[in-house]
Amino acid sequence: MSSTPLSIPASRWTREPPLGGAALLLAAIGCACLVAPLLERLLGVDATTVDLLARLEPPSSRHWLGTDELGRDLLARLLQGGRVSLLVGLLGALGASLLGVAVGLAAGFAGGRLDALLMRLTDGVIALPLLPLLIVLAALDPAKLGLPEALGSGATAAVWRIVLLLALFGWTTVARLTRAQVQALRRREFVLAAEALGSPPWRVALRHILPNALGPVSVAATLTVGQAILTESVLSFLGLGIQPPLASWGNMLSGAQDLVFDAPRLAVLPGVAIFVTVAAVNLAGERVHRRLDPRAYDRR
Amino acid sequence: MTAFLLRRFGALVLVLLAMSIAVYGLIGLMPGDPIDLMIASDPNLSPADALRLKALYGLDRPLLARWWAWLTAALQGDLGYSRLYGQPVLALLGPRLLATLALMLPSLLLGTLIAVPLGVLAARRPGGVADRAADLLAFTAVSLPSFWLALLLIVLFAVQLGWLPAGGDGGATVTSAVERIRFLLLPVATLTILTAGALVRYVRGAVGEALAEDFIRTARAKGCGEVRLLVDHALRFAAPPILTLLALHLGALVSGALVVETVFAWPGMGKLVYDAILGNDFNLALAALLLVTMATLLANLLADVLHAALDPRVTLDA
Repeated sequence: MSSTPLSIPASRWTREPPLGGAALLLAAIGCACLVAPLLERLLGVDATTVDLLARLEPPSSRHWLGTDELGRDLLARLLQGGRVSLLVGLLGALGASLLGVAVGLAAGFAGGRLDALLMRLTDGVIALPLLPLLIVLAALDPAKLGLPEALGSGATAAVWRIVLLLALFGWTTVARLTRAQVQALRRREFVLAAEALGSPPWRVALRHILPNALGPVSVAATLTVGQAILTESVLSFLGLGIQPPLASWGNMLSGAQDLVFDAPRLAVLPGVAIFVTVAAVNLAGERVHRRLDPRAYDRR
Repeated sequence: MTAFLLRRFGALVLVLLAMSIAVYGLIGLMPGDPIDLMIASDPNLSPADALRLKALYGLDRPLLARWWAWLTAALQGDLGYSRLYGQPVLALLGPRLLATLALMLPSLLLGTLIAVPLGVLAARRPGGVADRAADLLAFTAVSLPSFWLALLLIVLFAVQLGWLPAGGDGGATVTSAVERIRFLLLPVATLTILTAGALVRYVRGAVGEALAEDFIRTARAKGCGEVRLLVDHALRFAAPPILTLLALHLGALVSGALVVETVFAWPGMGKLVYDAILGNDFNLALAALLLVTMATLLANLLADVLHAALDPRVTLDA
């Protein structure tokens, strides 16, 4: 229980195929997305150039995966979409995890009223029908919130808005898990010793309890990455996330639905990208879980 | 029990009131309110005119005052008029709710019928075929985007095979129930896979814990048959947490239904919420969102009551 990802020798992580495979796959997807500009220059294509004479072309030596309904190169769009989806997923999950750890640590460490209040809030957020609410929040007009125009519009603002939404609603699992860990650690002898030696509460919480709670929490954080990528893709698919011309795997699929009869390829490939990425993230997460808490699997 | 129900019901009403204020405020922040639209459609409208119009419709009053006016009208059955559909909101909600239930109830039923036997078999023999199948199903359900699963089913069954319609409910041309069911199959299949995947893990976990209990060993020692052991002893012991989870899953199912209804153009509550929000139909969006929230919260309440009714160790009065 007390082992953390860092306390396990690196060789044990890489030797076992599932994490190795999943991690390798993720690394490959990440690299492909990063070298995309190079590939685009090599092939003379890019993700945003519209060519209405080359609509829905089949794969060719120039367009390896063919073109979409506006004649844009599908491979280039997939790679750009990957950059956006991965970035949004990672940042959203990071925000959600930080929020979750903060809430869980506060609730588990302080106990009493604050604990009851925070856990009631967590239960409330879990019980809400999330997607309808996310749609309302994603459709809000930032100008009416009193934000300056420059902050509320443009592609970057849309990305940050989605990251913010993912963080605001994705923290509950991490928070519950952190709280459980903190409560279990709260009465351990090394914590009592630190308190008896006069460590101030913040130091006990941050230096003694938090690092020991992070192992299992990191599993929940990994799974949050997968959830964040999925939620982003749903919102973008519904037209409320990342806005075209910027590609994301979700918004590529919303255009594809009208074309399922003409070009089913367009409806399949971005989904494969989402599925493979999320599956790899989840596999890696389960592998970490198995590593940190073998009992959870042996006993099952 | 009564005290518990009353308290929980009070809490539910409070949460709903808070939600209605929040959603009311949020919807006012969406682009394209009626005055915005008037300004956009009439270039001669000066900012002063816009202010006068706002005063005329009471839109210059504070948020809470407007919300109170909406609430008092809503409680008397007046949810306002839908701009998008040109009908009273109340008249729209009924048929849409039925259409969504026609998706959700079969999905819940079928999902449970798949997840429970599979989960029981998986728990019986960890590492066996059923266990692997359960793993695969659960893993697929958490890694697949629901809308893409729907798209794939459309590509396979509507485009490649041409067996089933790609979406809609057939409208007025469909008269027989059998014909209508063909439109239901793909959306129900999508939600069933997601539901079964979400549940099977918990069934396996709950039954697995039950099988480790002493009374199972006792029953086995007394010569209890394997089927009876699994169904009468283990599953019965595991039923309360499973049922609780099933009720809690309704919230996720509402989100899933929204996506699936949108992809399949199924005229249910989820698509209504989506269309209302995107179409700036404030009255409709507000009522539909609150109805969906209320249904989810009621399901949570039902989960607690079920838990107490099935598990004699849980008392609700504590």
